[in-house]
Amino acid sequence: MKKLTKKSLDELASTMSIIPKSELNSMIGMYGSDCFWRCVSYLNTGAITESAAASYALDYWTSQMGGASISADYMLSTYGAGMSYSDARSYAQTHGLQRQIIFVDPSKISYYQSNGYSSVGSAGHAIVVSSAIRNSNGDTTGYNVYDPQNNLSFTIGLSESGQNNGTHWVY
Amino acid sequence: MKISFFNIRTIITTWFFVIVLYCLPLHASISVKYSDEKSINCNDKWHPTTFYVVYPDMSLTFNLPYERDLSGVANLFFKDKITGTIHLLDTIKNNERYHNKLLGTYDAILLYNNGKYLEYKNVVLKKDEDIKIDMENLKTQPRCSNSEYWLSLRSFTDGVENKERILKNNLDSKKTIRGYILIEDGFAADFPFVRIKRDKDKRETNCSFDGYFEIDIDEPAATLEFFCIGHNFEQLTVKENSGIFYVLDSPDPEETKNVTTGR
Repeated sequence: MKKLTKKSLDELASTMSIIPKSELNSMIGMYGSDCFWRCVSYLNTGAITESAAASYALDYWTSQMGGASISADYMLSTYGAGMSYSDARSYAQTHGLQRQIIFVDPSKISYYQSNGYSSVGSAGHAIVVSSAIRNSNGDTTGYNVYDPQNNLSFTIGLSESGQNNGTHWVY
Repeated sequence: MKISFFNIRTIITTWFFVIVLYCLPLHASISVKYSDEKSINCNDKWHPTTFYVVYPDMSLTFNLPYERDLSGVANLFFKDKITGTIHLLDTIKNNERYHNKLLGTYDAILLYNNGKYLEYKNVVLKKDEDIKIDMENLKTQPRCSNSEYWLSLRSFTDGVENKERILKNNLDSKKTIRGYILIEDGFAADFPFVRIKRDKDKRETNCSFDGYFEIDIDEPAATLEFFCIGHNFEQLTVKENSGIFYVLDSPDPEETKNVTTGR
């Protein structure tokens, strides 16, 4: 990939129209595959909107790209905001989000399958773990979870909660 | 009023019998309490007979002797053979409990509450090993300046920041198992639980906020299942009245590094 230099950005600015910052801000928030960033935004501020999640994604990738926010925005708009497991893990580790976000395989989660959310896909989908569910004997029967991307609260059973069902902690 | 010698003798005799009768049940209960020497839990003193330390890639089983002083076990830890550094099984970061990853050669030390201790020298901790450590015939070492320092360290069952643990059962068994369930790459909060694996009368207990649990078993040995969301069920057959430090296996980051968050 060709490295962008200050000179080439200046050349771009002279030939292309400049978008005012206020207008640019209103355009941010359209990144796909942002389930991880929805969780991050929800856990930090409670906001679950696309734009709220996008600001965290843009901050992260801008930092990863040495401060080049335009390049980061271009990359996110083109390829989406999906995170590799190792990147998500590293982010959660350094931002105090351990034991809060899990990846699930929606094709193996009964709630998604029985409530018409098959479009959520079969890749790792990030959701937030709220608490354990216990019966009157105090035995754990499952876990309460929240999907900020779809604004859904539901439960997953023990058989759906195991690593062998595709469920695992981000960190 | 004039008190005769006969009356004084009667009063003394009566009080003597009252005192003797009052003391008899106490004496009897103490005898019963100490009848089973290897499984005594008196007051809050802990007398485990076996200690299990399980990591995803290594396990250690400690056979512990009967402690004549009955002061109870305070801690089990390791002393680095080269540096002399003391390594507890766990560490506290940001008020959360994590396990210490230990590899190398250590002396394993079982510390009692009275400052006496057992020392098993040259334990080599390396991956893929199932290590048995028999401390039954070790000579008990006397209290010394080192052991006084060790007693000042956090003991095995100590909580974090005086935060109260909420445990499911009121324990009345002499076969209680105490321990922790932690996760390889971090603390586990109160998500894990442990349960006895059997068809009938299943018993389960949840971990406290720092992974601590206590569970009663009513048999000399039982198979326990350990679970936490995001992990698989793992099991271990344990003896009654033992200690457990169990670290659940986690997904290998190398295997999952290409997984991308969806949608």
